[in-house]
Amino acid sequence: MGVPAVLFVRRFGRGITTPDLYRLVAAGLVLLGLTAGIVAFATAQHRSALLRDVVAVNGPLSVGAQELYRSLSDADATASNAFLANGAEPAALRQRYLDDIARATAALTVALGDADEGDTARLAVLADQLPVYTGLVETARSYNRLGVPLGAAYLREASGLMRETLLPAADEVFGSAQRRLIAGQREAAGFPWVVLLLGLVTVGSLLAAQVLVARRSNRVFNRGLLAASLAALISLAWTTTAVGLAARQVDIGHRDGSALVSVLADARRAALQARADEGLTLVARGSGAAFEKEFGVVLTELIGVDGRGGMLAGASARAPSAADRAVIEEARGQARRWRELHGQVRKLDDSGDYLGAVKLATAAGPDSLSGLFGRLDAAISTALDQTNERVHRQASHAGNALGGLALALVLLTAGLLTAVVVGIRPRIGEYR
Amino acid sequence: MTPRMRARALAAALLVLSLSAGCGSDEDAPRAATAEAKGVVPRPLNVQDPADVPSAQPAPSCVPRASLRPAGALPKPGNMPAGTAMARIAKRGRLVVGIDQNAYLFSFADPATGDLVGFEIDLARAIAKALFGDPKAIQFRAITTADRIPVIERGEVDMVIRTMTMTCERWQQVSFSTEYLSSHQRLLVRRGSGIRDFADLGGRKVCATRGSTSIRAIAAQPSRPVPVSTDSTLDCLVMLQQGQVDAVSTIDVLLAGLAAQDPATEITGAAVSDEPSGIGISKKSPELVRFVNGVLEGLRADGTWARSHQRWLSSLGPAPKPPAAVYRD
Repeated sequence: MGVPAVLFVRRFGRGITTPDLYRLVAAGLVLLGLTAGIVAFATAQHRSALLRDVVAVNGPLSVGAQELYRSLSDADATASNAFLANGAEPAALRQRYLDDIARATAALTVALGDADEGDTARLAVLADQLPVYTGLVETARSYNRLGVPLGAAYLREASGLMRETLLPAADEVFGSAQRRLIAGQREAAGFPWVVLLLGLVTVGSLLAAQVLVARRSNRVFNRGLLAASLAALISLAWTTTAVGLAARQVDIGHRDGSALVSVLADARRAALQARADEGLTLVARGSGAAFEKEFGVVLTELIGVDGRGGMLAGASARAPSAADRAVIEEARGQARRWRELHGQVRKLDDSGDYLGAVKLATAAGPDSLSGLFGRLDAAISTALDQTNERVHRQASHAGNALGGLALALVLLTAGLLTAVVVGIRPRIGEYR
Repeated sequence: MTPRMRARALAAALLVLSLSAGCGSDEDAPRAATAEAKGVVPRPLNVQDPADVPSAQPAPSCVPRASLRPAGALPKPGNMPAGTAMARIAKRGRLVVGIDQNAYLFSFADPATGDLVGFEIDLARAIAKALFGDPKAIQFRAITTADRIPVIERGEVDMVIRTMTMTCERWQQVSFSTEYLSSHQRLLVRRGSGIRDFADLGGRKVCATRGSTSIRAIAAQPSRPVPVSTDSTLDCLVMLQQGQVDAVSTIDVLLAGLAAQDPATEITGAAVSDEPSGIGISKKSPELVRFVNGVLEGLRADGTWARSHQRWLSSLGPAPKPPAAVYRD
């Protein structure tokens, strides 16, 4: 655009007086410099806002939604396992259930603060129904203590509410938080082509203007235009470097962070569902074939048919560091042993020894089902924590890369405009 | 305007722009969510409201109580005649019985041991004892009311002991033992509800299990109550307690089991049906039906039936005489 403008002036500008031509050039440069400055500024502001959202809103919302889902699902699995144990439920399971509810409530409170309209509706379902759920569980407990089967019916109603209403709502909150997070990352990770283009045009036009002024005024350098070119070059270099650097960080945060979070969160959801299915198979006492089938399907999704595939293998392949891979491998190991022990429980139950199966399933200790599942859950949680932390860190780094850019752009653009005016005004004055 | 001033003005404009971009605010409309919040009572799983009422098949007339006569004396445990269903069960090492694990006083888990106990469990154990000499050689399978006939037809269980009403229609699909308990369909309501009979329930919700004879009887009442169905009778009590239905209607013996769990309920109303309970067995195993009837004869004669009734069902009053066996040969 700069060179064609010169050609344009050369060809058709013969009729225009030189001062008018200078005025025209000055106006064009001011307009161009202003446009390029505003676009770069707006881009920097927009990117900063996106990154602030990732760091302060969507990232935490995604983490909160993961915690919410985990707590609710674990509460459901723990309540049914506690129910299997004869007599009063084991204190450890009761405490685990209470912790789950406390965490779910805390996560819900935090999530409500940052939710958009759609999420608010989903979270309202959770806020409405969670107290109803806990009420049903406590009713079940009371009747169970009295030794009447009515407790089992209340537990079934509670579990139905959890599986059909609460968990789907929590899952949607996570899904939408994750979608927004990833959309924000994708938007923030693009290269600022428009800024680059406008910046190049500005620099080119400034150089062309200098050629023009040098020809007409017989002075080799115009200091004002030289200073303006320098300001334009600095703006261009600073903006593309900072925004490009931030985009790269965000891209790493997406690839090594959010994408892995999605896989790990799926894995944890699968593990929790398998745990609940395992309990419900025994609670159903012989008519739990559907739950048992689901357990098999879900565990295969988690670690594959041979214990070497599935979501955890996928997560391990994606994991960017050895520390991540180590915890994911730990989770896989626990899941494989869980499948073996589960097989023993099923063998007992299927051979008619229901009470033996329940005893094995509800035993406490490090090598028990609850011990294995506890370590599996803890390993996936650690991997998730590390990955969530990575998302946060990369977005913060990206935000830092953009630090000061907006202010610099304001100053550089102002400098550029001043320099153009200061550079051309005396040349116009020469013709008075 | 001098150029200098112009430059200043531009710089100022840029500054204003940057400030306004930095602190963009979208005003939230005030929400009136609190005004619309309403409590919702959850439902047990698999509730149908109103329930599908199976149309009554044109059943051939028969004597529903009449079963197959025992074939002489019972074979000794561990010595079942070859080729019979009993020999197959003996070879497997355990009797597989379909039960309800939530029917208080009939078959329910003893919370202290987790083991199943109750009037119907006593029956199942007596049959296992006759087969194996060991009342513990049993695998119980919890099933829903609607699954009672399908699990027998598919051969997943050897028998179903789950307050199954003997009807001519069901005799088309399965065989029954002789009657082990007599009962009548009545109502369970909240104390103080003012409901005394079906006549008070016009247009109101009455609960029973899906696939039961009770659902049909409710739908057939002249006052036209709305039948609501669940997987288990116990879910009906949950819904009665939560105010989701106005009454539960099934056989009085099961209602007694519900009333025993909630003193704020009472059994009321005239008997609307006569419901003999029998043990459901595959039509392909008449020899097993005869064997079970032989076991039941023994329980009636030696006072075991009365002792079990006394132990579990004393809330129904003093143990009556066991229902007399009726045979069709």
